[in-house]
Order: sequence, then C-alpha cells, then structure tokens
Amino acid sequence: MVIGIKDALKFIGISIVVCCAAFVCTLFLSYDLDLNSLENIPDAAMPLYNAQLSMGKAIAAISGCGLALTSVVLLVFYLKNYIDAHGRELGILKAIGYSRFSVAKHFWIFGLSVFFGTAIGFVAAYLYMPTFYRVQNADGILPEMAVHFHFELPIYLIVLPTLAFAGLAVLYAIWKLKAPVLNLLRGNCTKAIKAHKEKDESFLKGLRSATLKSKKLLIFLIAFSAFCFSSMVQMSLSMSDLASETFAWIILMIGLILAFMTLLMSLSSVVKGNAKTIAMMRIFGYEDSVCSDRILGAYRPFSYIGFVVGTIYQFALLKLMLGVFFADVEIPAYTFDWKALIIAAIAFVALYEFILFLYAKRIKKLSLRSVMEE
Amino acid sequence: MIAAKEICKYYGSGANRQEVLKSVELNVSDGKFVVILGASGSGKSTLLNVLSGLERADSGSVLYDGTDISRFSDSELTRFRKAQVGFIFQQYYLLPHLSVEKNVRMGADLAGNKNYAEVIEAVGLAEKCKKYPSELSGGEQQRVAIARALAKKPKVLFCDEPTGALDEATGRQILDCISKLQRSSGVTVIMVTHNQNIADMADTVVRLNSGTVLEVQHNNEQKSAYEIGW
Repeated sequence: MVIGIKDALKFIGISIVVCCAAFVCTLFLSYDLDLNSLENIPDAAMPLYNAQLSMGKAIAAISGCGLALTSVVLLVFYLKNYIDAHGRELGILKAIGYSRFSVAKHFWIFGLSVFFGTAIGFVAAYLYMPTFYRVQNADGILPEMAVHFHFELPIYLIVLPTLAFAGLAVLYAIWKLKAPVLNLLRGNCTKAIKAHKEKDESFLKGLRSATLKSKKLLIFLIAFSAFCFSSMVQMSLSMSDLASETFAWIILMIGLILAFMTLLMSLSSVVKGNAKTIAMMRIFGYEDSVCSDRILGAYRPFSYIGFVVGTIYQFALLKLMLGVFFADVEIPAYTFDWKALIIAAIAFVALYEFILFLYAKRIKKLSLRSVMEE
Repeated sequence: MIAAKEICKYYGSGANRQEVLKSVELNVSDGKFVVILGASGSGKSTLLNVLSGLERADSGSVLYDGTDISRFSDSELTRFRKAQVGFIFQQYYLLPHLSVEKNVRMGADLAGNKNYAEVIEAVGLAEKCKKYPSELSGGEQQRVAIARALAKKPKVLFCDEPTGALDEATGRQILDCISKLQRSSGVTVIMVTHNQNIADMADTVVRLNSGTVLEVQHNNEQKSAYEIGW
C-alpha cells in the first residue's frame, strides 16, 4: 500500500497543534478536577475558588476547542495536499480494481499523528503539573492541592481524538477518491476552474488575484497564524498584573508555536503549489523579486487583518473573563494595553517579513529544470 | 547570430557521471528556422536549454552577437531571457488559473506590448481569449503557448518538441502556425524534435547523436507543414 507510517510523520504540524491542545486541556482540567475535590474552603476564599473553577473550565474549553478546530482544518489541508501529490499512485490502485473504501481505509494511519501529539502533550502536562500547582498554592488563599492522576483524562484527550481524527481522515479520503481515475492519474483531482469575469488588468495583477482565489484555505491559515500571534502575545504581555508569570509564558509559547506552524506550513504550500508558475515566470525573464512579491506578497494584507482581529479578540476575551469569572474578586482594572500592541506589532512585522525573505530565497533556489521535469 | 563553441555538459557525478553534450559547435544566423534532430537521449533538449540560457554548460561558451551569455550572472541571464528569447514547450505549461488573455499577457507585459490581441488573433484564438486552459483542446493550448511566446517579441524562439503531445492533424496546424509567424516576424526559431519529417520545413537541420553533432544540413527549399510526411 502506498500509505505508511512515514507519511503520517509528515503530518507533524497536526501533532504539534494537538500537543499544545492536550497540554493546556490536561493541565487545566486536572487542576479543575483537583480543585473540585477540595473541602473546607474558607468563606473568604469562595469568590476566588469559584472564579478559578470557572476559569479552568473556560480556558480548557476555549483553547481546547480552538486548537481542535485548527487541527481539523490542518488535517483536511494536509490530506488534500497528500491526495493531490499522490494522485497518480492512488489512481493506479483504483484503476487496477481497488474500491474507494479499500484505498481510503489506509488513511486511518494519519490518526497516529494525533495520537503522538496528544500523548506527548499529556505527558508534558503531567511533568509540568507539580511546578504549576506549586505556583497556584503559593498565595495560600486556598487549601494546599496535590497532583492526582485522573484516568478519564487520557481517554478524553488521547484515545477519543485519535479515533475521531483517524475516522475523519478515512471519510475525507473516501470523499476525495470519488474523482474519476483519469483525473487522479493526471494529477488533477481538483474541480475544473470556474469561469468568472476577469478584470482588464495586467498579468501581474491578474496573477495576484488568481493566486489568492486558487487556494482560499491558505488565506484563512495565514490570517489565522497572525491572529494566534497577535492574540496570544498581547494577552501574555498584558496579563502580568492579572495572572501568574507561568500562565503568561504558557499562553506566549502556545501562540508562537501555533503562529509559526501555520505560517510555515501555509507558505511552504504556496511555494510548492506555485512552483511551476514561478518557474515559467523565471524562464520568461521575470525577476526573482517580482515572482516572490506577486506570489507570497499576495497574502500580506490578510496577515495584517488576522493581526487586527487577534488584537480585538484578546481584549474582548480578557475583558469578558475578568467581568464574568472574577467579578467578585479584587483585581486591578483591565484596560487596553497599547504597549503590548506596539511590541506585538513590531515583532510580528519583523518575523513575518523575515519568514517571507527566507521563502523568497527558497524561490530563488528552485531549479528550473527539476520543476519542468516533474 | 548565435554561436555555440565547444559546449560540454555533464549530469551526475563519480561513477554516474554522464557526458550529455560533447564539444558541440553550432552557428545560427538571424531569422533562420533551425531544427535540432535526434533520438531520445541524444542531448537535444539539453542543448536547447544551454543555448537559451536556461542551463549553464560545464565548459564552452554561447555567444549572442559576440556577447558570451555563459559568463552571465543569474540576474543577467534573467534580463537576457526577458529581452531576447521566447519558449514553447511540449507540455505547454500554461498557468491554469489565468485566462488565455492573461497567459498571453504574461509575455506581452514583459515587452510592454499593448497589441497582444493581434497575436491572439494571429493564432486563431480571438474568440477564446476569456477561456481557461482547462476549457481548451491540446492544440488550442499550444497555440496559446505560441501566442504567449511571440507576444513578448523575442529575437529567438526556442521550441522543445512543440508537437510532441499532439495528434498529426493538430501538430501540422501548430507547425504551420509557427512557420507562418516566423516568416512574418523574422524571428529566429530553434526547434528540437525527434520527428525526421519536420526537418524538411527548416532552413538548417542539426543532427545530434549521443551529445555530438553528426551533421549540419542546409535546405534550399523548405516544405510547408502540409507537405511533409509525419
């Protein structure tokens, strides 16, 4: 069979995202369960106790759901690319008589990327938990808590996601393999390009809009990576008065990992998907800087939109969480942190342009001969 | 005038090193239709790539009116291709998400050619300029590739097996189209093929075997695409 463990390892992006999700969820759900089992809470500590309980659930739910949805999008994206890249092998299998299901069932193996990611995240959370509990116990307001192992957590956070993602991979493959054998063999299992009214514009302007229209999911992913960076970095910078330093670090690291993963994956896909276009442009005499600007630069506005949405989201989320969960607890008033915005914006622009520069270099190194011979 | 002097090209290294071009010498006069003829693996496509500046020779030089392009940097080669050459490939390599018109403008915009519509009309696709490559037949797609190459007003047009993916009747139409446009625009055409009969259409035929030029033949009379066998 054409699909093996080696292919599942290529889905490392999903493993990293689900690892973050499992880490956060394990940490906060375990903390929540241990908090729930506390007895003899002093009356004075009740508002903080209730706030901590609600916040633990909210963080696990928001980050868990957000990261799980991201993983689903990434899985579909990876699978689509995988089927497009291996259309010929899959087409041959179909041509010699394998049924759609008999080919698609082997896609379960991509669920392993979720298994590895969630398992690592789960173990990492338990390794980090003693430090996390020590920090939470340090203020001495609530009774001292110890780390307990909760058997239901690995089922909810490792086994079920693995089964769900393996099933999703098989179902998606069944649906995608509906494409006629000849289309798969020709490496063209995508839909025919829909005719639309083209503007009377230059080739380069037309190329920019065609690049964007050809892979709309990439627009979402690039905007999403900016959103993650913007919201998580600003949140971690502006919550220093509201939460522990450890918590701010967790948020920062998750934001950076998510932003890097989605951005690198999206830009790699842009370069790979447009390799032939770039090669033709270079053969005709378009300069490397023009090629990279038109192909990669097309996504820049969407990354800035993602950044702005992330800024609004993190402000609204913090305001809401403090208003709802910590209404009865005395904490400093939360206002918009302009300093955090400026730092995050400068860091984002520098990072984004640096990654774009690296990919522009990669475009320059594309061998015309190898691209045309593919 | 294009002059190739002692071109050598190798692929692979160590025990797998293979000499693809062996001291190839070739002269092409302006405005001529040159066919490089050879069997599969004879080195004809590599020679075309080296002559057009797509690949560098390991030794030897390629002179365009006395200027050696083999010493050019990557950016100088890009400028050279922009100003001097056009390409037609066997697999067309049209941009699938752009219409016929936009594909042709890829070449036209580089040369600042505002009259690209005339070229589309010349290849007989005026009616289909808003269509996408997937909506065209193989022959029509190759005509778009011809229009795209000619719209940038190249001095030399390189064609790598332009009829290789087409049936006989469509292949003849494409050859006829290239030949007519070559005569009307005066562009130099260097075409690589394994089809012996296409050689009868050319001014000059270069026979290549295992990376060596066997023979350079000059035809006094050129046949049309409809007179040659297939």
